[in-house]
Formats: sequence, C-alpha cells, structure tokens
Amino acid sequence: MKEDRFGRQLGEMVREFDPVPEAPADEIWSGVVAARRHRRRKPARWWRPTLTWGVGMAATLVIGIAIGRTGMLTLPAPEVDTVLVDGPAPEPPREFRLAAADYLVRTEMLLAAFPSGARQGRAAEVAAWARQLLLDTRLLLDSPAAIDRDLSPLLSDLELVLAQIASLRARDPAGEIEMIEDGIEQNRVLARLRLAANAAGGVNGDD
Amino acid sequence: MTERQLIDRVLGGDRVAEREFYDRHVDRVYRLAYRLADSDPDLARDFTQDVFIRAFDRLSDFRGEARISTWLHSITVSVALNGMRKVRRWRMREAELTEVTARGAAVTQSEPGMRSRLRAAIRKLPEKYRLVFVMYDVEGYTHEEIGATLGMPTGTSKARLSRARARLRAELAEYAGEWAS
Repeated sequence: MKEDRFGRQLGEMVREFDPVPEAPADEIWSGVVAARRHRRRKPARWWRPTLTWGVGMAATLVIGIAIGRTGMLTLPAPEVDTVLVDGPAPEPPREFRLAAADYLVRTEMLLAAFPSGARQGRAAEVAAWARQLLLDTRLLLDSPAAIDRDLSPLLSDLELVLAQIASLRARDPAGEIEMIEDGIEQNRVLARLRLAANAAGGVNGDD
Repeated sequence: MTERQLIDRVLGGDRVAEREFYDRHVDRVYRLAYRLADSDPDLARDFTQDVFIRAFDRLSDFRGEARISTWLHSITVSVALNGMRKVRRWRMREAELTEVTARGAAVTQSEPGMRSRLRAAIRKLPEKYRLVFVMYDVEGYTHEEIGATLGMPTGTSKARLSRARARLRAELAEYAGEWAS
C-alpha cells in the first residue's frame, strides 16, 4: 500500500537522521535511586499542617537536650524524622566525623558557587564537581557517619541536590538552576549545611 | 522469571529485582522519551528518570490488565508531553526572541534540506498526530500497542496515522521524487 510505504520510508529517514543514542542507564538509575531514597526519608506531608507547630516545638526541646552538647543546634529541625529521637544522639567514630567535616566544607563551597558558575557557562564543570561529591555523599550515607541524627537527613537532602546539579545541562541550564535553588531554599539546605560544617569544624581540636 | 514474578519481587522490596525491572525496560522508555523530547538527549534522560520514579511509586496500582511495557510507555508519554510543554513555555518566556530566531535560522541553513524539512514538518504536526506517527512509523509500535498506551481504539490510531502521513506528504511535496509514490 502506497501510504504504508511512504510512512515506512519517512520512519527510516527519521531513524537515519536522528539515531537514538544509547541510554545512559547507570546515570539515570543513580538519579532514580537518589530521588526514591530522598522520598523514603521524608515522611508524608499530609499530616504536617496540623502537627507542624507542636512537633516543631517538641523537636526543638528533645533535640536540644539530646545533642545540645555538640553545639550544633541553632535552627529547629526542618524534618519531622528527628522527632523520633528518644535518647542521647549516637555519635559516629572520630574518623568518620573528620571525613564528614571535610565533605561538608567542600559541599558548601559547591552550593555557594554553582549558580554563578553554571550561569557563566561552566555548567559541565560544576556538574562534574557535583558528581564527585555525590559519590562521597553516598559513601557517607552508607557509613557510620550516617548514625548522626542531624547529619543523616542533611546528607539525604544533599544527595538529591547534588544529583540535580550533576545532571545540569551545559546548554540552557538557567531553568534548572532556578529549580535547584528553590529546592535548596525550601529545605534550608545551605543554612543547615553551614551550621553542620561550622559544628564539624571543631572535630579536629575537640577530640 | 516472568514479568509478574519480577513485579511481585519489586513490590516486596527486592533491590536486585528493582534494577532488573529497570534494565528490562529502560532502553525502550528512553527511545520513546528521546523521540518525544525533540531528540534532546538531556531531556530524554530526565524524562526517563521521572518515568521510573513514578513507576516504582505506583507499581502497586498496576493490575496487570495491560502489559507492563504498555503501562510504562503510557507514563512515558504523559511525562514527556507534560515536560515538553513546560520546556516550551519556559523557553518562550526566558529566551530573547531575536536570539531564538537567529539560532533557528542558523540551524536551518547548516542542515541538509531534506533533513531540516522533515524535522520541521514533524514538529509542525499536531501533538495527537505526531505521537502516533512517531510511535508507529518511527518506533515500530503496533496500532494495538498505541491504542492501549494512549487509551484510544485502534481505529483512532489508524485514522490519526493516516492524517499525520497526509500532512507530512503535503509538507514535503517538493521532495516527492526522493521516495516511491
């Protein structure tokens, strides 16, 4: 049939002119895993509006008692996961705290620098930097460092942010940068990161 | 392992099964996403990622009435079309008109005539025709698969394909000599 032959020929031309590249399966899978892990760590939002105030105050008190000795708490806990605290906060071994401290400083530098860097045409460079830090984040999440009840949700949020930055496109990244910045702001990621980095900065001298 | 057994394992929280499920379907999902993303590999990657995030979230809702690939491809179509609408809106809002015009003109001039005309003609098709053309003629789906994926009778798929081809034939009339008619 004439019409079918015409369609087949057009289809062949499209496939020839625009061959589909191989799917970056591992890269996509990393993004899927990061996003799902992030969601699992975040409790459902449906009950937050009614409980947020009470929970926030309780969290502030409980966490203040539990980890006040570390001097890390000046912001109320942003996630309700931390409400589940019912004893002294466990501390990771010193070597992991040192590794986390180094990681936090490097990540803070990236988050502070990435919007201007990416907007000035260095998106690929910024994405490569984020990929390195993403690997470190995952190592820390799977290490004893993640038993720290402040650090763990922060790492989880950072994992998602870094996965987004790592996926920045070299071409036209402005919309993506804006979305990432919104996410960072909504979850107060940078403020929490700075607090954690400052607190972790004392690991060297204190122990 | 059958598809059903694999899904049950995924629903049971088996991480290895999740990856196997993903590996079985990622190439075809990516192909479709790439075609619907105007051949932009970065968008295709983002759409594919979103498809699997949604698929894992909603897998428990899958009742097995259609094939799992059909279910995944309908998520792909939905994610890609919504994503492209946002991308187009954003580009319209953000890009300076002169810059876009200049870039468009440059691309057209540098590409061989037939190739650029074919791309332009496909982009110009209404979405409902373009979808069926891309799925049937380019990616080799059957009308039954298209009907199940897009939630319409196979007759509608055939009719839309016919209209898509007619529009493309008219758009590309000057190249009619390059294919058998």
